[in-house]
Amino acid sequence: MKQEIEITLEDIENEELVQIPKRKSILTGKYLKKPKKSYRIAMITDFFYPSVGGVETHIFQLSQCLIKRGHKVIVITHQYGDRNGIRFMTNGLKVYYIPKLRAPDKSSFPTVWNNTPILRDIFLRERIMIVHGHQEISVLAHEGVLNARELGIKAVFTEHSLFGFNEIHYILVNKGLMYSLLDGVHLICVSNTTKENAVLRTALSPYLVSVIPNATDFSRFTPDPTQSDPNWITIVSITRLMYRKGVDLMVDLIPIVCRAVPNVRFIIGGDGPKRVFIEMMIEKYDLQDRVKLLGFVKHENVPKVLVQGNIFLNTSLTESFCIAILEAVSCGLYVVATKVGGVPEVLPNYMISFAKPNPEELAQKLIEATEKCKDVDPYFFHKEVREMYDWHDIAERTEKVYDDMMLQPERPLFEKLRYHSRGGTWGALLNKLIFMLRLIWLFILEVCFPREQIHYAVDFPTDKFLKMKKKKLNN
Amino acid sequence: MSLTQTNQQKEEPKETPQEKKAEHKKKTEQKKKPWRKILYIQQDYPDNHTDKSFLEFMVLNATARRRSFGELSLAATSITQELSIVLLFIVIFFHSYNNTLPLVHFVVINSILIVLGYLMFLYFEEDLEITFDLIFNHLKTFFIVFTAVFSLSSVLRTLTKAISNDTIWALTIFLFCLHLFFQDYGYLNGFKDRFFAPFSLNAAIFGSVILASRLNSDFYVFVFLAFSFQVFALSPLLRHSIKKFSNEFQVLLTALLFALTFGLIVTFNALFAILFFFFVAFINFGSPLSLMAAQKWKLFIQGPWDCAVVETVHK
Repeated sequence: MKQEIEITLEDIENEELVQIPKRKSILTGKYLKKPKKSYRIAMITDFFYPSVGGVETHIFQLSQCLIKRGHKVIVITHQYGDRNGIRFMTNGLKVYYIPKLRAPDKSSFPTVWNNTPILRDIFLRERIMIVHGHQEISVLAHEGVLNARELGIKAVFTEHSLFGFNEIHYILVNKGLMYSLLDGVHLICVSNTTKENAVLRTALSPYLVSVIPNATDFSRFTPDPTQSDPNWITIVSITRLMYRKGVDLMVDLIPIVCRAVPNVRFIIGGDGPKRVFIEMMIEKYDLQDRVKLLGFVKHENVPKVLVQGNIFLNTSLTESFCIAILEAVSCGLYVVATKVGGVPEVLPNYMISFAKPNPEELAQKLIEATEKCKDVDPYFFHKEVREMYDWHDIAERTEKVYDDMMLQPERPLFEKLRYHSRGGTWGALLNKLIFMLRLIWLFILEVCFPREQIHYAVDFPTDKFLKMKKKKLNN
Repeated sequence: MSLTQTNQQKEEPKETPQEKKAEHKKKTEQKKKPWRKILYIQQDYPDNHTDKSFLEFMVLNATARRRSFGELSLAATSITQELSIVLLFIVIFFHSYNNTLPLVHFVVINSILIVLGYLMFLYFEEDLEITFDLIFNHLKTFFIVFTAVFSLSSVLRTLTKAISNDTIWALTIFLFCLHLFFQDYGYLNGFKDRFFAPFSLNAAIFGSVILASRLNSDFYVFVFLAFSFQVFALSPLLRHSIKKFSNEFQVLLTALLFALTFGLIVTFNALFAILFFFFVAFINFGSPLSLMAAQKWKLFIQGPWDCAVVETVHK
């Protein structure tokens, strides 16, 4: 006879130390099953190859996994210097580099009318069913999502970062996101804290926001205990040296830790405006042999730097989902991080220890970590974290969001005017006016370039290509 | 009790509908594990699940302060004072320009006001050691400035000879508006301890110099400029100490200045006097009311998503 069991949080946390229930899909491999329906997806953002970063990698990996699941994916981004037109990437990922003026911080200048013709053309010739915009500060993503909704194409938006509320640039950015998400656009956030932040900023219903975390390419970050010097306990930190990454905390805590533990040394990778303060601190406390500054570390060299360490230090003041700590744990390091943003949700507490963002507490936790890191098995950490976050799992969960979106009914264009009543009296009026003008613009485009005359683009033969690849690998 | 044990319990196949129903009921009654705010395990909830604990660490309006009408109105009296003083100054100028100012009376009243004001300043000011050195320094500065103005008055009279009247009036209005905008009202309200409004002081002195250049005799120019120095450079110090000393005196002083200015403007132009009255009513009583009405919209959100603040920032 089955008994009713009182399951408390304590039981679960104690259980974790014995056996963590992992994601079933990653363990069983069931995610490789073919999905119900294959969609045609357009990823649209300002941030893509050739610029390198977290968002770019996220989009690329997600697209690759979706292609392997049988969907067709294209990417739309703005031109990078000479790089414009259509290029193909791995496994037939088609990338459109559309002509758009680039703004200083890698995003582009906002426009209302300019990109509608070209985006409409791309969406129609590729027969796009779902448009997926990434990163809030990317103007092109907003434009893509807006245009998609007017054309009746479903749209999803992924939010990668945290924003404040009380400065003018935050207010403008929040209003911009609220406007883009007016018409039944589903939002994907990378952590639960990001979801709370996004819901407050855009006044969305929380049921329209899903939480799907990030992952990283764990095969590149493998542990290598031979690289770390057994005489020292090495603390590694690879980060841009700026205020937001908590360099002030690092400058204050390094002397404390070096004084308390005699065989500890620091390796600091990365460059930025605050690098000079670390150098001043090294001079002042005479720590030339204890602290090594590497300067800018290229992305491909990051694993080589990480495996030299025993502990990874992350002193960021704000972080929505820190991929750096995943990479560190994958290389077998113990992590000490500040308890900000979405960081507490990412790793279980036998892999990471948290501190409040002040130098004394961080130094204390680091000193304790020098004891704990001796018991750490790097290969165990690597295996564990591989089973927690996986790109294929993320693709499956994103596909579930797409399934939900496709089931939503599509309202007639004029009824959508009702959605634009948010944003206050004058905001609503302005939104409705802009919407009506955009409808007129779409009508003009429909008359000049009717959709019957748009030739469909030829699809890249992904299935055959993947089979061919498999054959080659097997032979 | 370990969770794995219960999951592996095997059941016998149920036959009768009653047994099947009881089985189904037990299954649905078995509680789900509570949702946890973590990302590294698979939880039995959909991705868009919103728990009871959603937004539980959000803090609203932690530092916001509700202000009362009296407090705001009292703070607005310094603006009324400044406005009255500027308009008083301009009215005095017009009387001087039209030669209707009784000069001897004006000089006598001014001298009495300066001495009285200085004594009040010494009395009201806290943290002031009244030593002979201090008074000597004050008198020395005063003497130097007045001598300078006296000697320059003949030069200043012909300063703007080539410029038309209209330019002077327009420039004056502009400069005194700047003076009103950029005045250090925080100091005048006793919130700060250092008078720092160089821009507004410069605008006022510039305005008074070009006004003075329209006057007819050297002595007029000297008296007028001494008056402007008294009003724009010395009176803020006195008004600051009065406000810090006593709120009642502040209100009394404001009322006196307003009445004096109103009375003088009425002799010139009744319409302007009425406008002045309503403008002061708006500033002193209407704006506090509208700020209090807007206070209910104040929404200062804090939570775990905020950027952490570091105490010692290296620069």
